[in-house]
Amino acid sequence: MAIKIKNLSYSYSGAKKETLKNINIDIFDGQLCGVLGRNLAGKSTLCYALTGFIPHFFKGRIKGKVIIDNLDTANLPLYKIVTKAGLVLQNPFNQLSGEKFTVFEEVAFGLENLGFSRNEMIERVEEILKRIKIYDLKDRSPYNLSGGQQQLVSIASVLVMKPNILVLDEPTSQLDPINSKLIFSLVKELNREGITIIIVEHKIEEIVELADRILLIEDGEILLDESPHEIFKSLKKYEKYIKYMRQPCYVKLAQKMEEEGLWEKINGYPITFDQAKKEFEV
Amino acid sequence: MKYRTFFIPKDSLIHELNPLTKLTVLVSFIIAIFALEWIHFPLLLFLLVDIPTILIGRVFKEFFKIILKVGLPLILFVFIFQVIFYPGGEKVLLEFSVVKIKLEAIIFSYLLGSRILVIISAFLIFLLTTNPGYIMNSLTSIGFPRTVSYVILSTLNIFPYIQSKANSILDAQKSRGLEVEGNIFIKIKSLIPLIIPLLFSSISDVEQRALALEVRAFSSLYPKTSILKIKDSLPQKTFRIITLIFCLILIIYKFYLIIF
Repeated sequence: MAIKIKNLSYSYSGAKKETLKNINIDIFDGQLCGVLGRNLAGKSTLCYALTGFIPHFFKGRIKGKVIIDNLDTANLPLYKIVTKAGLVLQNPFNQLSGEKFTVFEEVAFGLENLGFSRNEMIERVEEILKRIKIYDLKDRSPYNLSGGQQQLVSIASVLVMKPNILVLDEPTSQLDPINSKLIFSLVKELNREGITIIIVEHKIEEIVELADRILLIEDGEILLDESPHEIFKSLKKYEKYIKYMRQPCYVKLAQKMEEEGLWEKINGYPITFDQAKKEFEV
Repeated sequence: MKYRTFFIPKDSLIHELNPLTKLTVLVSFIIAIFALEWIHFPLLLFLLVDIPTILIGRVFKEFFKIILKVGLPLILFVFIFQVIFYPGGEKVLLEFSVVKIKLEAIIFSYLLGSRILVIISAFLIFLLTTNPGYIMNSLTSIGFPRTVSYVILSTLNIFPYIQSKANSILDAQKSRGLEVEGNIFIKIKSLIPLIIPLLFSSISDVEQRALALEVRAFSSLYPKTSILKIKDSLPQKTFRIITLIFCLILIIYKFYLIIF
């Protein structure tokens, strides 16, 4: 089990309302979970809880537990949790340390803080830069990169500490479509290599393509915990939850075609481009 | 958002110096210009030491760009302000209504202005010729807590950061129809829709930056290491010790003058 959340409720300091309410999730090794929900539903708060920033960075009232590697995150210092579960934030620019002049130094920053020897740092940084295919950027200033490249540097900076879990909070929200595609491609590859991924996104078409399972959050509660195919196979079963998330465009197209009598739903609605191509091929 | 630190990577003797050596020189300059009362000392220090250092460091263009944009207006403002409002003094050189320009005021303002010039120059030379990563590691190596070192470095690099952010906000506001070109009143008026978003977004960025640092185990209790190999040498270490002893002598001398 990668992460286990047991009866987690949380409210920020000074807030009257709970931002997370009685969350119970088991995330297994190697899973890719997509987290969907409207703004202010509690998605980012969930990300902070999954990576130990709640309660170590954001104080407040917390009930319940988050267990990573059989250890309660409340009893582990934050600098040890980040080597198990890494966090990537929305704004690539704000994730740069502000004190490093090259991408190589920037990626090594976490290892410097953890006291790694210089030789081991060099080895790990080179390995991760090659793995993420940004080795050619190693001598460039991290401030003179595109948003997508900066986000890749941020991901590399986290992965170099070798966490088994990666939590990404809307990593493409500030990126153009080309750079977004870069990030999703990398996420897919990392998951294929065995890293457990939890990704918050609004780009539903990308998420249903990648994710093994979708968690839908609304008002701090988990409303849905299902595979993407199960959710969109027959919209009738989960009709009351659909209003809290955007439907993939292929589903909307299929619904329209079904209404017009141009298509018949036999195997459920297509949720990816390949499925739609197969279903609508004449 | 394009942004860089002050640092300009070049192949020069000044760039090769250990950051602690440069920091020692910086501190000694500041102590010397206040300890020694000779009014021409700061300007001579700037002309005979700072200018050659800038030339050897090959950062002449960048140095003077910043001095002309930021340093000179500040020095001019301080000079004029002090000349007009200097209390005391007897020898009046010029008189305009209630404003009396005195010789003592000009001498004092000249000394103050040249001291400011030396301080700004010393910091600029240090920042232009030192990799920010080296600065942080050097401060940590002499016992500064990592958090304090980071705050010092962030403060030193705040101007390029604020400038980049301000440019982004200005572009956004211009695209929403903000007038920025025109007379001085239009320019002053355009500052309000710039300053308030700049202030609030900078505050919000602080939390995000703190988060990002913790994501990389910044508050780790392990002894910190560095991927950079900072060069040092016996002559530089000796120079630093001698300079610090000299600074101590200057401080004692200054206190002696004040007390006796």
